[in-house]
Amino acid sequence: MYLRWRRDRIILAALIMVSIAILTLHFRESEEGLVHRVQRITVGLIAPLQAGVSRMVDPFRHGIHFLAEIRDLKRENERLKREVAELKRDLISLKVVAKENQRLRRLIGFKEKTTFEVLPARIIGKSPTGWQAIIILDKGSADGVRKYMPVVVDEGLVGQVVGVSSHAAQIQLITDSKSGVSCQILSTGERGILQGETGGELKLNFIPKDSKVRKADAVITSGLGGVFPPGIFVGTVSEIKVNPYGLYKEVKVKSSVDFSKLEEVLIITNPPPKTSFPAEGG
Amino acid sequence: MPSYLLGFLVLLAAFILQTTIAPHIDIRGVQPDFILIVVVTYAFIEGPAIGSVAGFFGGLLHDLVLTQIVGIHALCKTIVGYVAGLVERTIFAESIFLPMAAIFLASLLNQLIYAAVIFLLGYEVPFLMVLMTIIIPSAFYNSLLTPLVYPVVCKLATP
Repeated sequence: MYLRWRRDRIILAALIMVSIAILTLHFRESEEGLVHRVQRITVGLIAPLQAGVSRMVDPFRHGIHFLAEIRDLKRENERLKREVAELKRDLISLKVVAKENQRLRRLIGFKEKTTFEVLPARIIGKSPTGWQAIIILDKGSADGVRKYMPVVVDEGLVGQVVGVSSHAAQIQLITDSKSGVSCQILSTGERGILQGETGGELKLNFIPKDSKVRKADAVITSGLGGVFPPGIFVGTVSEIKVNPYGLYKEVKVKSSVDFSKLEEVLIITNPPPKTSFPAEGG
Repeated sequence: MPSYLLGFLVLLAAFILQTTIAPHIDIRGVQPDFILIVVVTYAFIEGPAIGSVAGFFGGLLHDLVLTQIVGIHALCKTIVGYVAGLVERTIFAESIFLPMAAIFLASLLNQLIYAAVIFLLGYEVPFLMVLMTIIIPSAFYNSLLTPLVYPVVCKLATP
């Protein structure tokens, strides 16, 4: 009995030590280190399986979602009709503004905004806990995906590539608590670092106390750090708090992207060259 | 078939379920942890040594595909497997409610160790918020799935 108890303790201690050793090695080694390589190989092996099951499960999931949402559809329809009417009005005024904008750009000699090259990708896996905001895409290095490439959808910024195997890529969402994106408040021009928080919220750090930032102000990427191109829409300011003893305002940002419903994303394959800027890159 | 090979295959099946099915059955971002349920069930049957070994390998598989911090789930599940193994066989009962309660507690322990480790690694852990939105909901979810997974693993693991 005593011998068995002692053996169990030794096994436990040994496994804890091995786990801590792997953890340490993973943190300290480079991207080409042993643990990272094993991780890439495992992700590459499991990706086809994930993609297959994802394709099988999708019709059922969509069916269940449809049934769950049917009672909201009527209300949604009414709302959308009103919205369409408003949007039509907005569209007309936007066309006028766009023409004026184009004319002004030509006048002052601004270059047209660079068009990004994008690669569509399907989400085939998600981090199983709420602790980390990681998704897995079905495109990898064989498709031209590289580490640090930004990932977007129509609504705005999603995250960046943090791991790549031949046919899959790991994406760190901007809501991940280790993510940091250099952003700018559009109305005031002030720059800060957008960080994710456990639970999926976003906060914009380093906004000075005397800032004129207001709720609903748009937040875009600033381009500093070279990971994310400037001007990508991120979201809007949802909450502003002033700490009487702090140097900065506490600014919360609501992302324009509904991360829980993401199914397909776009990887920007011609991002600006990565520069070493310690505050960005997560 | 040797029991260790069978155990590894069961763990592998749980891992495949975890990577393929679990993301599609999340409830408000909380996914079930099939690997944990299998590890804890094995620990109940085989004791702390096998429990911790199953926890280590199950956690490591989990780490290699689904996280950016390799080794963290291996560490958490090793400890949980060991602790669950200490109640070896005493949990075997006619009622499924005891295993459900035990897996609820094991999930809580797993998440609390995880929280402690990531806190030590420098992550910000708003404890009350994660307790209410991650730790307790995932423990409930794992506990609710126990009647589906536990009998199958018990049948496979006991000769």
